[in-house]
Amino acid sequence: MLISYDWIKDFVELKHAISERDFMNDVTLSTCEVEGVETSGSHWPKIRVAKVVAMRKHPEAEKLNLVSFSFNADFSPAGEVVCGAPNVRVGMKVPHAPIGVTLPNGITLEAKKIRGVLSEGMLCSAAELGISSEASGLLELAEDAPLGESLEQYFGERHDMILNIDNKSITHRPDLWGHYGMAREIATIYRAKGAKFHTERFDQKWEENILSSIKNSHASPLRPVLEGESAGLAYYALSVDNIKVAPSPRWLARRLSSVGLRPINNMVDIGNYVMLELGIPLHIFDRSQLHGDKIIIKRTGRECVLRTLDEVERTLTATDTVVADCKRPLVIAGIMGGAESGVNENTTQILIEVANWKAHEVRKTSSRLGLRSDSSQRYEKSLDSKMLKRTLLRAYELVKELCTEAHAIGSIESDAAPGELDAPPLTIDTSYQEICNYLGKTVPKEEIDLILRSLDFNVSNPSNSDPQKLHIVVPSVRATKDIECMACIAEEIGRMIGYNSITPISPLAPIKPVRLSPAKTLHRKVQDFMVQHGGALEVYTYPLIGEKLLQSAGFPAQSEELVLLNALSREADRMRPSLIPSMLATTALNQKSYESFKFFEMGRVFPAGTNFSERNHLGVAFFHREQVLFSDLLNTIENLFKSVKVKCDFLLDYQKSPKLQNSSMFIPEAWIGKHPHQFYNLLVQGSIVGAIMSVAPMALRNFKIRGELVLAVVDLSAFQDRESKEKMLFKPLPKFPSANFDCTVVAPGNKPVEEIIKIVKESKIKELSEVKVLTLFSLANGDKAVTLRSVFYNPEKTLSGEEIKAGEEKIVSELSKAGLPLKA
Amino acid sequence: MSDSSSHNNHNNDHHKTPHELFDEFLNKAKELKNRAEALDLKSKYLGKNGPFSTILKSLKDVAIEVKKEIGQQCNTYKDQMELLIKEKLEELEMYEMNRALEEKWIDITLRNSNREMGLNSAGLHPVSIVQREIEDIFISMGFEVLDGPYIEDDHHNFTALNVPADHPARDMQDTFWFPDKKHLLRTHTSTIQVHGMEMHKPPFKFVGPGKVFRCERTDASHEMVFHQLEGMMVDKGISVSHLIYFMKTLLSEIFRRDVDVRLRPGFFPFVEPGFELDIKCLICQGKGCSVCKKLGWVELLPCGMVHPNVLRAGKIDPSEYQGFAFGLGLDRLVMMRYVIDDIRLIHAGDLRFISQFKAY
Repeated sequence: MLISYDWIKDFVELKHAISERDFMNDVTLSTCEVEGVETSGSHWPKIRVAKVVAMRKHPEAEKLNLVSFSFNADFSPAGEVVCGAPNVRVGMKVPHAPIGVTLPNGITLEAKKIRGVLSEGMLCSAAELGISSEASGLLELAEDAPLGESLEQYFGERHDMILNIDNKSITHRPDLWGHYGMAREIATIYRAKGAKFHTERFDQKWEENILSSIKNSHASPLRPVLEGESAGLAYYALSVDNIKVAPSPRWLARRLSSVGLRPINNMVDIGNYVMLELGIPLHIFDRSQLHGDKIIIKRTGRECVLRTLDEVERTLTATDTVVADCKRPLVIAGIMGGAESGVNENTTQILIEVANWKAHEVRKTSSRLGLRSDSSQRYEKSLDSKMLKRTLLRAYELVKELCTEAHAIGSIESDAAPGELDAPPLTIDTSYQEICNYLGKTVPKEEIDLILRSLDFNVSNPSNSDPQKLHIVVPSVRATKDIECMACIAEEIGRMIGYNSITPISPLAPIKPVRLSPAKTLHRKVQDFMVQHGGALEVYTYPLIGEKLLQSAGFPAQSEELVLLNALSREADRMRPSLIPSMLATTALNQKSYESFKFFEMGRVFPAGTNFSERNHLGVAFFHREQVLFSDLLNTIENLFKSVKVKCDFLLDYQKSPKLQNSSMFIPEAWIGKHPHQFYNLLVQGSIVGAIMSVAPMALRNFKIRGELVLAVVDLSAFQDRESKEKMLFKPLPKFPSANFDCTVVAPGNKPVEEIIKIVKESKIKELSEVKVLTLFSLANGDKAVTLRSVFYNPEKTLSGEEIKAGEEKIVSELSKAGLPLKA
Repeated sequence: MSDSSSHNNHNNDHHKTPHELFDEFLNKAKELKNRAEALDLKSKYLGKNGPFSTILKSLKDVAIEVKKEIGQQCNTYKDQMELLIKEKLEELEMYEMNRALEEKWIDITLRNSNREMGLNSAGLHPVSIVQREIEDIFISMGFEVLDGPYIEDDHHNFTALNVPADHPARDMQDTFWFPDKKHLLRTHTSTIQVHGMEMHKPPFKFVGPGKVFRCERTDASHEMVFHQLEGMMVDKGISVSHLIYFMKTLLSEIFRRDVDVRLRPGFFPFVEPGFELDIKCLICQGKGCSVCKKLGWVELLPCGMVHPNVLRAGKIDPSEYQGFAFGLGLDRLVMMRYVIDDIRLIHAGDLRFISQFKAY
């Protein structure tokens, strides 16, 4: 919102000059965010009324004249300018701008020769002065314009500072959406410098004066009626006759333009002016367009169409509130008036409406219609119905000023929802001490009283016995949404004494050890492990995903309850059920830049049908253009589980008990990316918590991935909250020697070594402590030779030769029984 | 001279003088090629049947003075030869080992950093790096680190934070809603305040970092998913002066230098009073530059005293306890630190970006 300093000065007397920078800073630190300040009209005091006293052709240019001008009654020339305007003639009065002036178009006049002749300043057009877009010639001033007078005086033009206020910083302050409210702030900010707020401007006496000027013997031609429950809170109306619609006087047009509103005609401009002054929107009807004797405020009750002032047809629903006459809706409550009933150049009879509406209803309708007006923007902030009457009186005052012939017909008519106008004021009982404690600074009582009173709060001491006690009556303009409790009062004091005057003090807090939660600790360990040992880079991808990506990855569309109502795009309109689709997309993206890479993500996933539950998953991807990095990833994950002290078993699909839930939490049923062999289920405490897999070509093809991709997904949520209860106890070092036995068997090429080891492990040899693969090589016929090392050990004694021999024989016979003969 | 004549008298193998033998030994020692030859030479000259033993045995019948003189001479030569052989053996051993190592030569200049190995880097995401650093600062000041769900209900995201239904503040944060119109994606980490109060009895202090979501068109400086870190401290007698002290201390630690802060009014429904906290521009020290738009101050974070309604919603009596709360924009800090100009890189999964922050 734009605020004019010049306008503010209607209500505040400032005893000192304020620089742009200070003004901006002071308002920002005490009230609301000022995004910028612009000075306008600094040219007015320097431009003066001049008379053309002589002219001759420019010796070098056909279309230019050399014009002598004068500021004196004796017409003695003050100088000569080069002028190209077609309407220049001797005897006319025109504005003259001297060297050094910066005009509104940004041009600064310099002393320079035009085609060899020095021009002493410039005679100006209306466009050059920034008062009209008319640029066809010099602005001709009236015959009787006093020579030599500055246009500041002659036009009543002002040198002004315009504050650009960030609207977001005043959403909670409906009172600041008009100059009057802002002036109160500024008067309080500069209270110590003697600023004085003109409280008498709209006082009781003023009100009585206007009311008496309204007084007439006519009956009111129209009366407002709130019909049933609606968005309407209160409605004031006044009929006025003998209106003459005309352009607004310069002072009014200038003020509107200075804060970014285009002047239209005196009636429309009065509406806007009063809104910008008092913060309450108003509407002016052409009364000849209204039917019947009632203005009805009601819900439409049915869908209907209204063409608004901006000439757009708006469809209203049955619950929208409108202002209607006996025949048709006229205004969308609080948002915009209809095109037909508005003021036009032939209007002579008007009805001034000043109303208040329920904020949330205005907000709802305006956002549905996509129509935000100056009016709706204000009503959304919750306005004060007690301000309506003053607003109407101010509008009438201006109507009378601009159309001296105008006169009211009947009296001010109003209707209001029960309790709206006679609600008791909001009061807060607190103490000076409480306010000071909250701020952490001792502020003198007098200062607190001064600030609050300056902001229109009524302050009193309710108790004779306790001078600390404070009874505060909140002004109604601040009581709609803004001020609620002691903390709000502390804010008023804090911002006006300046928060920077508060000395920083350390809080006193009891000593209490803190540590990261088990989950957070685990997450950090996993991240560190993946970096330090997994050699992977951490990526973040959106928790939001699109149906198309899910489809390419071979995942179902995600259940409806997890699809957003108001997504920004179809690529991110639902919660991801798994990290895998994003990992495929990330791989597809990065294979363009790199031949191989490893990355991981720790992210939330949102399984369907779990009542919005969220799981923390780890996803790891190893990509290589040629090599299958399966065992690299498998070993990494195996070590990861060891390092976080979680016991995990790696099960092939057929090793898995059918009772175990399948891996659907990680991959869909019959997933296109599921590799027929290279797939491990991860089992922790009897539940599947993840999988390690090579991605099958079908899924890779959908993403145009050229290379080998292996993935691991782990549901960290399954075990992240367990406090690590690991109890590691020292085992005595072996007292007796162990014996190794190596033997090489021939096995079919596709026989898993784990099964071979299992045969030995299950051979029921008491002293067998360990079996591992020592070496492995392929034979010419496609079989493989597997060398196993078995270790015999008895913690109680040294094994005898016979015992070892028996063990060895048992191993060989079990292997051979299983079809694995010793290699010859 | 008598020695020399004696030498000449014994001019065959069996009658060489100790000196001649020693010279002969020295010559042979020069020719030694391996340890076997050295051991052979040793046993030949110093063994039980070697020439020195023979000489010493032959002294049985000579006069005691001669015996003494020749004996001493022999022993001196023997000691010298022992030492020489020992040294020679060591030298030869070293030579042989080095030769064996020579055969096992590998090119140690073939480092991974010299090889094309694809993207061979590892490291945390820059937001993780900064987030962890800040979490650690908070832990060092006694703050717990809490977590919360992304999908929230209306109560946790709005109502309990003093944003009742139909409050215009709901417009300030464009919210992603789910079809039941009850669940939404959290628009701020302030929801963690609500969870924190549910879990804790005052006094307490905690932070809650995480992703937040806004239904907002994305561009270089706007994202629909970004990261915040919420903080809350509740105790008896907490005041604005404590908040200012705390923020100054925190930010000086984050930026690793003394930071000047200023508070100005800012509206956030869950705090009263609410502030925008500015820091004195770190680039120009407040003189005014392009970074601070000539203002000398840079808006950094919102904070404030916890609104009594928020405390009440958290079942805390505001007449007994007060608190302050604040929110840090983590992406903003990351972008400031590394001078990143496009926030969309954060979630892009582009390893050309991520690998710039690699640990190795």
